[in-house]
Amino acid sequence: METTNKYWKGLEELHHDADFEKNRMNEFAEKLPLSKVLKEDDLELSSNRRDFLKFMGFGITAATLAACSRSPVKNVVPYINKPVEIDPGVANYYATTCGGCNARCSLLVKTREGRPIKIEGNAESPFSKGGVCAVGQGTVLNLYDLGRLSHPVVNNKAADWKAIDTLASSALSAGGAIRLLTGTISSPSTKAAIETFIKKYPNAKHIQYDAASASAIIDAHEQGFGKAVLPSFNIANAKSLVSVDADFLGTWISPVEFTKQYTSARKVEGGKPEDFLFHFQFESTLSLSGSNADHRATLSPSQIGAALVRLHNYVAEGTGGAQAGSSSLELAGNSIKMAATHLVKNKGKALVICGSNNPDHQALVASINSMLGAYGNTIDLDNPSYQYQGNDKEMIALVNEMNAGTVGTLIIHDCNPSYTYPDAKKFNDGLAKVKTSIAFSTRLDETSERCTAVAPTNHFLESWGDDMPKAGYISLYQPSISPIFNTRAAEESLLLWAGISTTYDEFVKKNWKENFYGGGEYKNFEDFWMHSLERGFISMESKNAKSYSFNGNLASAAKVAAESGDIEVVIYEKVAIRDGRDANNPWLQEMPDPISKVSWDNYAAISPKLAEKLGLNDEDVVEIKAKGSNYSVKLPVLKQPGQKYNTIAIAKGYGHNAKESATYKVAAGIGANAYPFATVTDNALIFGGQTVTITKTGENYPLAQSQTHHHMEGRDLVRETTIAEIANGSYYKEMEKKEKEESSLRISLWQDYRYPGHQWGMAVDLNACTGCNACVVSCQAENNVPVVGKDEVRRRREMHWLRIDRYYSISEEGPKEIYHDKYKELDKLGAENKLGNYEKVKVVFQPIMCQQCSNAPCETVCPVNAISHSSEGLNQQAYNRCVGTRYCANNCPYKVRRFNWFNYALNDKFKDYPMQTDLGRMVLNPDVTVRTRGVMEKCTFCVQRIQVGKLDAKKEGRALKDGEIKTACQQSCPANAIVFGDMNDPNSEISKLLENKRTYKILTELNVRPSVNYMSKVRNSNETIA
Amino acid sequence: MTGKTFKFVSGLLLLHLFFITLSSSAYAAEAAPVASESSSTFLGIPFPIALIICVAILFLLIGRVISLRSAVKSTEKGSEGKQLTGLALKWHYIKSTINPIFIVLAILTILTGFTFVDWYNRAQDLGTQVGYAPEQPIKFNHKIHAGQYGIQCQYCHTGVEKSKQANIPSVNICMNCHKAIKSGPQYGSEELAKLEAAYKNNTPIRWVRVHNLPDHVYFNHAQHVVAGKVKCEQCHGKVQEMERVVQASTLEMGWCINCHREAHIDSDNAYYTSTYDFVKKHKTYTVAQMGGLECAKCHY
Repeated sequence: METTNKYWKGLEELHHDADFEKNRMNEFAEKLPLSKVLKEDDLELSSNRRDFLKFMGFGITAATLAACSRSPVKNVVPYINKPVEIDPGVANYYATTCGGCNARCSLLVKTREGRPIKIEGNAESPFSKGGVCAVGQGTVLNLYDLGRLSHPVVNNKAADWKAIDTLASSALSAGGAIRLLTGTISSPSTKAAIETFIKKYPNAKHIQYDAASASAIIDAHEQGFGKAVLPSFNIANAKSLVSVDADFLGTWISPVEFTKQYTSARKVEGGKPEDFLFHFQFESTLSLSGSNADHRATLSPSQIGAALVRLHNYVAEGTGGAQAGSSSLELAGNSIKMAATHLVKNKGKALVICGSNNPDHQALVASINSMLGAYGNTIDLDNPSYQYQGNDKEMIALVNEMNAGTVGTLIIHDCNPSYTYPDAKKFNDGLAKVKTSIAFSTRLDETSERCTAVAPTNHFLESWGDDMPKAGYISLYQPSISPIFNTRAAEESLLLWAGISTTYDEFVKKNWKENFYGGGEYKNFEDFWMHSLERGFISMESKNAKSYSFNGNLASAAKVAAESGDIEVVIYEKVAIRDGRDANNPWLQEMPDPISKVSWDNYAAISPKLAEKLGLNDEDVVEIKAKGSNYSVKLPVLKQPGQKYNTIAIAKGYGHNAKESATYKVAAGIGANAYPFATVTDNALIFGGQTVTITKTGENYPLAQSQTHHHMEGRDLVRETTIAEIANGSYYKEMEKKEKEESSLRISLWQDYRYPGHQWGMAVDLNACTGCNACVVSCQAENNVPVVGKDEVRRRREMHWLRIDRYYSISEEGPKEIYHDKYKELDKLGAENKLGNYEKVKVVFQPIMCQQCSNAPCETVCPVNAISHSSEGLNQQAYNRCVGTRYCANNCPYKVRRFNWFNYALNDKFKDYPMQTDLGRMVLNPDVTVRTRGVMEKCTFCVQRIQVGKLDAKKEGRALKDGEIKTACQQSCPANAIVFGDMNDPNSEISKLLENKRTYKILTELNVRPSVNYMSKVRNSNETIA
Repeated sequence: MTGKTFKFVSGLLLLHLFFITLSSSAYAAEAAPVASESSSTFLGIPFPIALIICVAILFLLIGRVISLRSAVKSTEKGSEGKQLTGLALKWHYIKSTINPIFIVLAILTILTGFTFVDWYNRAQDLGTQVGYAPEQPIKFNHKIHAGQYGIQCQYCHTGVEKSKQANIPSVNICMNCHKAIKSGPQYGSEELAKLEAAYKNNTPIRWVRVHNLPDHVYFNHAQHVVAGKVKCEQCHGKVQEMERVVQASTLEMGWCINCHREAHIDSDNAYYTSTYDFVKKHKTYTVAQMGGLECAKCHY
């Protein structure tokens, strides 16, 4: 199976673009401008004897003077009253909840000397199970963002809290409708505060609005089951999953929770092959979920309705349910029929999810799930999710109400409708008609800058609070730092205006005492509260999930509109930027998109075939104009394999345009806003499917795409198989044969190292890895990896120690014979145009970090011995010894070494990035050196964590426990794909994984003997179900 | 020897003398605050002794050559045509065959060599700040606290057994005693008033850091004090006898490495016995043998 797959990283590699071919062997992305530098006036090469003497004289004097200086006087400033729990030099961990998106995972915040420096997952949580996504990792940087609002603002002028309180009380008592517009409030205590507020002001109403709305799902469940809730999905129970345009692994509702469920449903070891989840994905643009799917087919947004009707009717046929409407749409390879057959076969263990916000679509999905017996098994309506409660109808009504001028006071909290609302102009017009508008916000964003007053709120790491993402599970917030700026919790303001003067933490405690404390094992409430805070969450008894059957009317939902044949826009979320609320985060901007590998930019993704038809090439700027609203943006084009032919995909979250330049210092000027392409109907906000026209502008806009950087010459790096081949053992036999062939070739000139104590090793399960990039940001936070910006990424100078290589492959088409020269082979495929329009592309992800080789090629070439081998198997890079010859990077077959081209902590080019501001530097890990210019760096296996783990064991005089030391990438992985441990310990998890027959090492023909192992990707094959 | 050559040679000698005095005095100034022990060596022998030995060897060798040659050429005649014997013959031979400039130059070369070795050795200690004893904002006297009253180091330096940093005590630790003790034997209440003011006004005290390591070095107190069972004075000197704290050790990498080569691990610690099966059998492993010289033990 694996031998017939051809893997490539980018179309330029596949097609042998002249530029790519010319540059791929070069050390640098561009010619180094040495001659230019040397010709500059001050560095004239042809200097005469007098110049030479001048330089010499100056040099000697300067060196002498510099050598004479004493080290600067350093101060130590101890606390006046040292808090008992803080020991300088020792990290403290506080349990809290993530405020990065609506999913609300439970976190542990690592603090040093009272400042949060790293986000970790709370492994005890039954909800997020220790996973954190890239956005969650990035939240700690938002805390130290200078773009945050540092003081209250009234009428666009800095004010104090008294001014806001006076304004609020006079506005609230002035009469007129009071409207409280918030994002989803899943916090019981915030809800209680809002209720208290509404009790005081009966003319007030609370409206929830989400930029990424799940309103249609709630509507469909109200219509079909009489329960207006967002159900909990349980993918772990499913054997058959159909996702229609829902990127549940990347962005949809609760990605970390779903990733945990997804990996547990696709276990190769410890699970039966027949229980291995089959994942169908029907979508318009290649998403993270789509790239992990077993079977993927493309459809345009306007086809979703027709596809769902067809699926519905196939399922109805199979289960004896009622037909709804009629549709003759079929996707490539009879995908809908295949999916329906498989779903019906696994009735009771099947699940259909849909990311569309069209209530008609969601009604169809609810009906299909009902026929498949999903309710009670894979869908739980009795313990619903509270993560998305936004109600589009109420929001649309509010905007109308505002425009009618009947709203007296509007209080906005945790949402940015001036930027995210599709008809933002109408919202802004309405906002101007509201007498007094007050925004609670962490920054002066597009909405708050239009409000009468802005009351800055705390970052969630500075806040008290609670959150109920799911019925029966409450996660607590506790501050890990006192507010940095002059901010106040939104709830505290609301309570104050309602006449209750209390701190919000007292209010939360009171609320918990009244509602959640039930005695039990705890002595008193204080005991219960402290225990809950320490653990970070409480789990209450969950109700039994009952089975429900759909009894809504599908007559209107099943009407299928005719296809227009025009180009449709797809509006999607990117894994890093999501809905755009944290767009000002340089870590997230620099994180390459898992699929396109573009960082720092928004682009218009189109299929290579459409690009050919329109005569477009990568980086050509096009004007995309909506036919309905005439809204238009200019964006560069990117050819995206896996994209539906007649569609163009634009990500949300870019194109911020707040007036205050400090607000989005990093995000300003990047990309264009995609929200206005969405449309507002009577009852819903519809994202995607709007028809657009594309015109070439003739301009060119460079994108920073790192997909072919650190190129490994197309060798056999990723291995892939099917669960069927695992089950019948043929894959293992093939692996053994391969290993036997290769092992005979491994001859070493070197004497083997001895590892008397520990020998650190890692295994990365490519089957579990979804490619979400959480590890990349986690590594960046842990190891003080600098942000380099778009320009430097374009020059292949990104500094990430850990990268995720994304390989495309097509297996159904193309020749079966295998060539030794993979390039010739790809050539043939490309030349014969046998790859169709690339819609059938499959994806494999492979995280690559330093492989910590035993016969390390880097060690032998260093002229100054800056890289040496440790007795624990690490390749130790000593930065202060390195002189920057770069020999090691050239000799590294895995291309994992990164060179510091600049002093990122001082150079003006990087002045907007965290290392250059006093506030931003608070995020640095004090245990890891900030590297200077001219030295080489690389992954260390988080040696600082290894040292701390060993020291703890030594201090306590005990053996080191397996799993005690976790690398940063391993800790945050939502898929548990990374295992790290001592290979010398026969009982460790890593030792067991080394025995696993799926485990292999990459580039073994070089006999560098890496310590990092990979485990083959396993997929379900179509043959098993056809 | 012509007058010109003489002037040249004596000038060189004077220059040398000047440099040696200069460097010695600079070195003496550098090392003044600590009890000076000469650390500059040549091939393991203290520098002045090595110098004397080398010059002695040189003269011995020259003398030997002369006596051998004079024995062979015993028929050599003096200027007056007289047969020369004994010392007179030797002196004649020196005068006639060996250029005195050569001897002076040889001595000069040796001196120059030694001077450079000496400078190199002394340069090793440049910037190490041994003897650094800055004035502190409050004249805290370790001699009274640690010496006279015998207060344990750990009482104030609370982090030393659990953290990377030993910690300068926070004011509340001082106040444990100084709530009651308002005046001291040395400065009366003058210095203690500063402490109390800091406590009352909530203004932190900016102590001057005595022991500094470069940023690229990771040092952990707990590792050394708890796991390594190193005594505080091994690195910090006799603090109980210091009025003002003085940096006693060089804190340079060679100094670290030397100790790692000599110090033994605590072979009773269950971490070592469980991780390294050979530790139980032979109990005499040095830190270096357990990988304590590897780069990433301190640099990451």
